[in-house]
Amino acid sequence: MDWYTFLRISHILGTVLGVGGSTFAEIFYTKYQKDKKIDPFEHDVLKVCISVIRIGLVIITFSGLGILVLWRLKMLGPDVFYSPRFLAKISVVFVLLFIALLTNFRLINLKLGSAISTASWYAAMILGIWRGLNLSYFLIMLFYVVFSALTYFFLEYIRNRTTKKVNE
Amino acid sequence: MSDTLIFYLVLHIILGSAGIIFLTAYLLSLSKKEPDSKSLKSSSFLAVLSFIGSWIFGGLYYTSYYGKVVKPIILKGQYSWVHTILMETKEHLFLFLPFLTIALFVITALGKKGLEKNENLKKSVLRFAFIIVGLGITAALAGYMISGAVTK
Repeated sequence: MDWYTFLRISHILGTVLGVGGSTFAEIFYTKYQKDKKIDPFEHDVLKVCISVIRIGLVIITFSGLGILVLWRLKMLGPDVFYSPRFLAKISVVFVLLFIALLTNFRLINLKLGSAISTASWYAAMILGIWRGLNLSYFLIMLFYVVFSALTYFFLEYIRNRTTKKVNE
Repeated sequence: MSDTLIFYLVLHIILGSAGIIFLTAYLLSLSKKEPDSKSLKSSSFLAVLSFIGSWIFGGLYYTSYYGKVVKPIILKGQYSWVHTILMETKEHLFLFLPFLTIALFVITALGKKGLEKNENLKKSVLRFAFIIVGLGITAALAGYMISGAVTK
């Protein structure tokens, strides 16, 4: 197996862990907060999900760095490095890393941070797969901001609905 | 590009990234309620070693290849500002990044009791480490942009 294949497999694995981990973290959190209490077992399950997300983030960052090094050695140039889709993908991964730090320092509301993180994982996956996407960087980032806001309100709506059902 | 030059470039990138990672580990460790002085000392020391290593291999690559081959390619192309602005900025950041990290290591080694008890000192050191991480990330992003301007 050559380096490029190994790095691409790792990159996809990191994305799978990140998208899967954040999806299940949201599902379990929504389910567990129905009674507005998180017991020790539920806390452990959420901790496992967060660990999976962090492992995914580390794998995606390092494999991405490796792919960039190979691209540099092949001298692929501005067409690849400065493409709006790729710059947007890198920005989204930076947001993911930044949100992870802010959450660790408790500088961001947990629900907001978690919604941005989930939206960012999906956005990174979509940008990675959608090779023919032909929009400017700012337009892609605008869609990303709108998508993050919609994810936050959607998750809030689902959480409020499930809590109301339990109270009834 | 020869295998030796590829080795220099790859080590420059890996060690530079490792330096940022060790400093981030330092930040996370220092932000705890009771920071462990051993882990603070080891992460800041590893960051110093990483940045010095990145400095040496980056310097070797720059003097033996970048200046002679890569720089003219970038200057001839559409993105000449990548060298004139970003590379010049990166060079200067690159010069004092190891010294800032050495200062952080010395503060950590000499003031470990103060870091555990004095909240103001802890906050100042946190800010200082945060600035070094920020400068490291800026240098890494500049490196990305410079790599992107190199074409066949």
